[in-house]
Amino acid sequence: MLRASCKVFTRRQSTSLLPQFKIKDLEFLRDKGITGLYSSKGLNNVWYDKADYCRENLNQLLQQSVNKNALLSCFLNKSLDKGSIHLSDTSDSIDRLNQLISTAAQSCEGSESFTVDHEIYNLSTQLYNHHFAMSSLNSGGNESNRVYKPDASELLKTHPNTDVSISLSHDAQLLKQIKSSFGSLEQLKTLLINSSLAIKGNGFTWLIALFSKSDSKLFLDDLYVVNSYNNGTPSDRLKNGQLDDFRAFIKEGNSNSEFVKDYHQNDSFDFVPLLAINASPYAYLSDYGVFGKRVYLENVWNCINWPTVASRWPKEA
Amino acid sequence: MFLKSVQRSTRGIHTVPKLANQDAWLKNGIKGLYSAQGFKESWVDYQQYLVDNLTMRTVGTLNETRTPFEIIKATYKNASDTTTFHYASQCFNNHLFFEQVADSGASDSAPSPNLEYIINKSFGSLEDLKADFEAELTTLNGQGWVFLVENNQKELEIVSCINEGTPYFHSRNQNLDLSSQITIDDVTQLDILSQFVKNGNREPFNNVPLICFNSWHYAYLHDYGVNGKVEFLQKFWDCLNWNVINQRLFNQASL
Amino acid sequence: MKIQQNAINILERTSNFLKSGVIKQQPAWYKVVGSIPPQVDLTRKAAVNQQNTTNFVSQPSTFKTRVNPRTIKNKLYRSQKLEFVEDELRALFYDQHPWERANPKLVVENANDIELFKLDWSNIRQLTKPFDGENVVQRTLYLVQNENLSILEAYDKARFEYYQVKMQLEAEDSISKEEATMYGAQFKESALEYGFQKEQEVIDQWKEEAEQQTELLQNKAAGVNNLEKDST
Repeated sequence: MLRASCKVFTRRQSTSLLPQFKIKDLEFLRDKGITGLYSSKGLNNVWYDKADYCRENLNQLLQQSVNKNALLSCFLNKSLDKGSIHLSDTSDSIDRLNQLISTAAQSCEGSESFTVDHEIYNLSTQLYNHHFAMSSLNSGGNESNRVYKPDASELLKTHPNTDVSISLSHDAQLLKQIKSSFGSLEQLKTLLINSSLAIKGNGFTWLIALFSKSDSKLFLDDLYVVNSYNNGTPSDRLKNGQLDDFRAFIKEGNSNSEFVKDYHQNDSFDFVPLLAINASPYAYLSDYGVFGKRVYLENVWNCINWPTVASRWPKEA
Repeated sequence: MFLKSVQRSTRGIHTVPKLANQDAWLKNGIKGLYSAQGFKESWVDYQQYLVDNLTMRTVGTLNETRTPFEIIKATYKNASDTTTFHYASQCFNNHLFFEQVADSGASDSAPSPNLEYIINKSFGSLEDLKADFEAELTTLNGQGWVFLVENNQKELEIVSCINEGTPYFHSRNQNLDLSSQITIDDVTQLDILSQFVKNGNREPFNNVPLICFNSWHYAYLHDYGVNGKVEFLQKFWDCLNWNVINQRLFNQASL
Repeated sequence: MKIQQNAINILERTSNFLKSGVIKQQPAWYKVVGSIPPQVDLTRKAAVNQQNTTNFVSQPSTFKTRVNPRTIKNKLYRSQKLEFVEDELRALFYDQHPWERANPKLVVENANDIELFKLDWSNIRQLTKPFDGENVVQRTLYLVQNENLSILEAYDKARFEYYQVKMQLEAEDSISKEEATMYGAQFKESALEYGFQKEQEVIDQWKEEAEQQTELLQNKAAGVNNLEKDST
């Protein structure tokens, strides 16, 4: 069983190795919240407190890790903008987090700091997921949304799902692709909302594009809606086939480092996440109550920042 | 010993069981643990959410006349019944949790000599148990439960379950996070278990829960914030009604 | 009640009695009744279907004593045909969604207290009732009565609500399973896996036998060839 050998979750201010994680659009909303989606308390739960917590713990863990230099190089070899990372203006910080995640993931069992690196992996994927979900939202919110706590009768209600529109021009590549992959916007919305509604514990629902690679060009395979649970990432490349690889290892006794590397190097496909929705209980509990997940998800749909989502479409495609 | 939210053998709906101090707690909260609103959210509302969903999932089926615990037993092996299992198991665990709490300082309860002996034997001391419990809680990923269980060797053990996991059956303990990093030992254990279940074996009751700790955000978000589970646990120890725990311990004399 | 035939043939019987000397004297009413005989025959007689009387022999024997309800002219004696909109809607729904019939349904009722809950059809989902085609029917009726929709509009609306809930439930089922599996839950083999396994056993057996037979055939063919070679 997995047990951290050290108690890592103590709050202790140390010299910070990591820059503060910020989302430009959300910087001044700590006390205000997002209109039509989150009160200030709700926003703190789902972003600020969470991000601070992850950063503090990451700071400590990075210092404990044997692979400290490798892990830190994910951040240090790129120029930092006054010690903080803005997510909205570049996908650069996502890349960095991604790099941190895969570096941490490569730490293999038996290595000295496996448990520490394991926690680093968990925290950085959490940070990555939250970053992604929050920056998919329109910080201006949506005036027509209603934030309220419904009662138990909400469980019986159905929400009409017609005339769905999004703020993208008709000829946008993304919109065309959504229509050809899912049939219509209504169908995408239904799929997204049903998927995240069904997540019971922590998790995110993602809209991802799958590309096949050849000669450094990307060819679109299709769009998919997938869920990730707890510390999972949408790009399954890191963890995909983990079980099978272990089983093969147990059977054949391959050398440890070889097979661990195997599943990081399947480069023929590329997952590009476009949109994430936080479906975990803490994302809606304080503003929408126990029965309000559906209302929350409807509000999220109305607050998605579609131009940002569209801008994540890779340029090589 | 086994909790039933509704005792009946005919058809009916599941309802929220009423706790002994419920009215007072709804007005003042649980002293030292919950505000009134926090208590309402984590017990009244959340339990209502669970029993309503459980009713809708079981009405008109074989599980209709069963109590949540019996539903757990009937569904834990079937992949197609996972949703029903979720609601039943959550109902059961949440009741188990709220049954054992009391206002802090209200009862001068303490572990019985019997329990104290077995705790000392397994962990060293009560303080060690608390430390181990906290370590287990910090490594628990996401939502879930931490249990102190008595296994069939009559030893105490700490078991953590992600999401709706139940301590009773190994195949549904759910204490791995496969989307995160796992070890070879985990995989070996998983495969043994998988083979065991696939062959259609019936699992014996391995563990009987003594202490149940709720690590879902439903239980602590309102009063302790999003990162407050450890603080919640520390408060929880002061509000634990040991009289209930003493009774849960297997006691040969009571047979 | 005994059939009152005696009242009608009273004249006939009295004449017979007089003739045989059972009674000696003509009753006072004899001539009056003789001149004005009772007209109404109170006995009911089975109406015989004209068509059926012609080839009477071929009819099943039960027919002889039964009245064909179609031949009864008076509506009063005919059982009414019960017609409900619900039945038509139900038929329409299950005709369009034949697989909805495959859902298991509780037929035998052992306690009716759960049926006593009043159902409020302002939502299609109900707490105390399994979610099935009946919900669409009842919801349609509710919409017709309360939202001024025509019956087909109401049916369509109810039907789409039904799809919406059904999709949600199915997503919930598959995702809870995925989620539990992600956390290490183990299940017994599903019906599908079991089926595959059983099928595979048969296929394996067949393959073994087929290989034996092929070998046998090849050997035979080889034997024949050898014989031919030998003879040449």
